[in-house]
Amino acid sequence: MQLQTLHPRVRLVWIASTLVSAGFLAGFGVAGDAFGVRLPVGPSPLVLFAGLATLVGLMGVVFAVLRYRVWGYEVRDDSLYLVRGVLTRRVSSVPFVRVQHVDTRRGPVERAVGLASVVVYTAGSRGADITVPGLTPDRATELRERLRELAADSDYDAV
Amino acid sequence: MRRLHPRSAAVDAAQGGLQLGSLGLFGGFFLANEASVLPFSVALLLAPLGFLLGAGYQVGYYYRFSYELSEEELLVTSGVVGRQRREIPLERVQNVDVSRPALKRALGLAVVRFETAGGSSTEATLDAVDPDEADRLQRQAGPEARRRREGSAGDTTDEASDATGDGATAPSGSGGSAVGDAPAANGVGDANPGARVDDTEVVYEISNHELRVLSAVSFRPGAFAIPFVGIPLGGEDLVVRALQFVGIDLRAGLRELARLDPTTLALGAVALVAAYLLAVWLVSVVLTYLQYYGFRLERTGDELRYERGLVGRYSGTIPLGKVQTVRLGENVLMRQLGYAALAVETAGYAAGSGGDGGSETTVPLGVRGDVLELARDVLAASDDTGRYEASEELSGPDASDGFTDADASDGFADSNADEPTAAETAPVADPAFQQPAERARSRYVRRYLIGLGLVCVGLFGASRLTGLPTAAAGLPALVAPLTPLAARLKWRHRGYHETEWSLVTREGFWRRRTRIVPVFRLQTVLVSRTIFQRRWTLASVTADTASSAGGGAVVYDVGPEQAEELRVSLLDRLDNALSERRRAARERARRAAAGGERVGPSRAPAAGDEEPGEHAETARGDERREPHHNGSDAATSGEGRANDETEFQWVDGVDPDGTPTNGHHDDEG
Repeated sequence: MQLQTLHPRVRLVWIASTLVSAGFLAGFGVAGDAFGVRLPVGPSPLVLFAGLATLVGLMGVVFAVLRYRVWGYEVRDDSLYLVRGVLTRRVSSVPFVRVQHVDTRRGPVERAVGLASVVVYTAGSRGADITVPGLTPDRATELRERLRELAADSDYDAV
Repeated sequence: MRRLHPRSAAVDAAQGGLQLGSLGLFGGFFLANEASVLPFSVALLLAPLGFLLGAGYQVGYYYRFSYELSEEELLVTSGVVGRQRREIPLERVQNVDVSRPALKRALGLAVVRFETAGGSSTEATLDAVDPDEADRLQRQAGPEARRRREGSAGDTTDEASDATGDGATAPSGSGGSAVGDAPAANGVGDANPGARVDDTEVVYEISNHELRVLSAVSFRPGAFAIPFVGIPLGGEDLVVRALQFVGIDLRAGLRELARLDPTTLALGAVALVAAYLLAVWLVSVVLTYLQYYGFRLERTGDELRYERGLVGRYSGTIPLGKVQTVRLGENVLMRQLGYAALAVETAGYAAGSGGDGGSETTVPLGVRGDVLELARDVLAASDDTGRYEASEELSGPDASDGFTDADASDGFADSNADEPTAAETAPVADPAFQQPAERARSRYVRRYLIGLGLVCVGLFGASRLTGLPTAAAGLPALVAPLTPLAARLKWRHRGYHETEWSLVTREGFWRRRTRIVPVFRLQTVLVSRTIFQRRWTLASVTADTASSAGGGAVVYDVGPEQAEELRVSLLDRLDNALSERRRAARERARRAAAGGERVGPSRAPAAGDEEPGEHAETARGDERREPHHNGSDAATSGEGRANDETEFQWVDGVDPDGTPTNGHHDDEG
């Protein structure tokens, strides 16, 4: 099996989530302007926060594109293999023996663009739940079932 | 069904009553005087009403709370409004902690906490019972329950005891032999399931000298904040006087500082820092002394139990079969003096919440050689297949060329006392460590320099705003020549070592931590490369276990190929270890069956016989708890759990088709 890529539309999901924070920043600026807040130095709050919001939004877009390029997963013989991370590149292996349970999850934005995520839970202390985003609902269900079967096949002490 | 201690109910009732009563009192005054919505006479009644309500609730709670410890599970029913009933299978219990803080101790009460893996908090808290009852619960839920499970699975002589060569040298022997022999020796088994376990042996007891050394050398992170708490309580005066002593008058205002000459300023800074560190140290000494006074560690079969504390008494159990990681901690001073501390980590979530994280500390301070010996016993007992001993025999000859701290080329090596002991004892925590790549050192130097640069820039900014002399911004630069030294120390104390059975990692100069992770406990393996590491083509490997102490074993800054190799080999060895354990468990089950013993399918003696708390409880009523990492909507999580429950029956080792997964991997991404 090859390294699987995510669905391209997952970028929209990521961009949407940064747009929310950018929106909050812009909101601060507008609110500050409405109440007539002025900083001792520098530009007016509206300009400042509008600038910040634009910056965050742009960064969000760039990161979404880069993250999509990096992301990959593969169901191997005895483990789930994942590559992800823009600034910190992370390669993780989750042995099927260690899988506690598997969820599919669909947030509002994901539903809007017709995508789903699979969440794999282990008993580990850091990164105990690993999310594979950007899957079509069918693919998500398929992955979940597959992982479930593989985990069940290797039923032995999960901790 | 048993109840909590009546005295505890009385205390709780008084407390609850006073709380609601005072609320009623102040609320009543407010409503009558300020808001004037109530006549004063009615408002006056609110206080006694509140008291009755608060006290009544606590009394009701007492009558509704009952628990029962049977041979297989702990059953707790509770709740005044919403009723809750929780069953915790004893084989899932990780730690049983008993704490008696000062007040409870004065009243002759003890709080018992049962910890399981997973779950966001303590699984069951009995607040509070009689100390003798606490003791009974601790014993019965721990060693005695395990003894019964062993017994019911047949009196198998564990391979571990055969394979252990050192069973005779170490008085406690390996867990395998202790567990295997004890039932026969005591004549218990299924014949007498309620038998008490009496073969308790004290493994370690802190001496007065050790306690004093420990208090003197341990710097508690928490203590660093405490001097600040003291400032409003008259500490301010002390600070002002201390500064006056070197000729700085703080009362003249910050602007005045700019007029002082740099030497006075520097002296003042040094005096301040010294006074602060002294205060931190004193607080640390007192806290450590109180915490570890009378520390003792005993071993009952396959379980360790510690006790400690001067004002409050705390105790806790550590089942050796559930050990996730063993951690050796030595700070600079301890290394110089030849001491070390040992922590045994399990998956019990909130372990240590009763004290101050002390529950995972198995030995707070001991002579290094003894601590290593104990670490080895713990590791041997944690794997009942005897693979630890086997692997140690293989790696034994490496002992002589183990880690030598005094590297001759290096003038500032800690020429410490641990070398002879390390040579004498097995190389549990002192194997030949493989250090990070050479170029990592340059990376650390650069990192420190960048850090110093940032501090300089910050100080410069501060000097513009406050009137500190600009020259002060240059002060951190004086430390710059030390960065290669710091980088070298950091580099030298980081390292890893692989054996067939475990991964050993080490890090930290000031507080060096050596982690020994049994490979069969691995949960996930993660290779990470930060943007800076990629510049230097370096990578770190994290071997994560279910240990609740967090902070998995990390192999820092090795080359990417080496990291990838390590990842693959760890997974391979995990596979091998698990299939071997499966084989051993099957073997045991078969022998038990041949012996005509009854083997409960869900109670086969598994080595890794624990799982997260979500299965360990049956909660009903409106207080139903969600598993800790389950934030998704009810439908999917419910499904997930249902799957989990049907697929994972923990029929460890009685796998009928008997096809162990083979250690095969493709790993090209």
